Amino acid sequence: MDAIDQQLIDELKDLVGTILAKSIVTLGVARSRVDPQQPRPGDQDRLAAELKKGLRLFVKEPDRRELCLQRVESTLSAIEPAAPATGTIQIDLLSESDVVKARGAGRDLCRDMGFTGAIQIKVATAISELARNVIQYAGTGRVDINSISGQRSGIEVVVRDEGPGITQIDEIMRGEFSSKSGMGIGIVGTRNLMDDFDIETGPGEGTVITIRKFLR
Amino acid sequence: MSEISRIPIIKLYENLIVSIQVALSDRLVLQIKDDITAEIESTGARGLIIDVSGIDVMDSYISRAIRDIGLMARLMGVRTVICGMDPMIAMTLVEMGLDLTGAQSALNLESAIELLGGNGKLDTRKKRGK
Repeated sequence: MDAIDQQLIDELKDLVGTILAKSIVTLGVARSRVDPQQPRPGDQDRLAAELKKGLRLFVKEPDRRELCLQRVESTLSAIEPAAPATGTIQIDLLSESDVVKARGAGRDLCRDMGFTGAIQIKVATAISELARNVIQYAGTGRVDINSISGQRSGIEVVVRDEGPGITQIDEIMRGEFSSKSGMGIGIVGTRNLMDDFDIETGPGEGTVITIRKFLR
Repeated sequence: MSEISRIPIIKLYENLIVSIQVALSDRLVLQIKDDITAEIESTGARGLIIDVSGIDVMDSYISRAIRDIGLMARLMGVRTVICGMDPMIAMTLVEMGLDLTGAQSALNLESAIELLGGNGKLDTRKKRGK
């Protein structure tokens, strides 16, 4: 069986022409961040939404657009998504480009696990925040991203470094600094984005932060 | 992912348009700050539009940088409009308690241009002196 993008192009090409079908589908796949070879649960809805946008932009006749939408829907509903992914990712934080790499990897794993788009972004933002702190204050460190299963399934991210540690962590977590100096906005914000947030730190002891987000 | 080293700044009549369509590294953020201020000075632009529709995440560092750009532009007499904010990123920003004061926002590029140009009619006659 063909990959989803090819199936969609085949369905649409006699209605809108091959070139337009290809652009709409390729853009939709890219924007919804779906892997056409291996669709995961939740992918169909995101892809359908993006394809709808593309069709609205490029197909002006309402009747023809309606027909396109019907075909998109029937093609997508016939797809059996693969089981939610599990995964273990380890990224060494050595320079600031690793921050971008870490948040991208976290977002991709979230997507493959079936998290909604909003949560993918929250997890990626949290990883970005914590990984940047490592580069900025400790120099180097490591991020481990794991899917967790059992009682509650979800994603767990552990960010660790052997830097100077954070002093006055209790005050920071209570938000006493953030309004004035901006210090701690990132870390307090990260806690607000996550379901679980644990931090172990102290002067000279390095820092280990563990965050979790659960699938509903 | 190949690293991009610069974000283009486009001059459209009296406005500058910066469209961010890549994952922003911290280095790139600094580069944008430098480039925008230099470009404002050399072009004498009156408005600045930052299109964030392609940004992957907006964490505290990136949002602060964008806010700073808005403030710097204002000091140089330039109005800043941020447009194309992804709804999921907006939600994340609010939950984190971050905001982008210093710049106005618009839903998309068209409304950003309207906001700056006044009903979309761009007045190209009065050029600001350099």
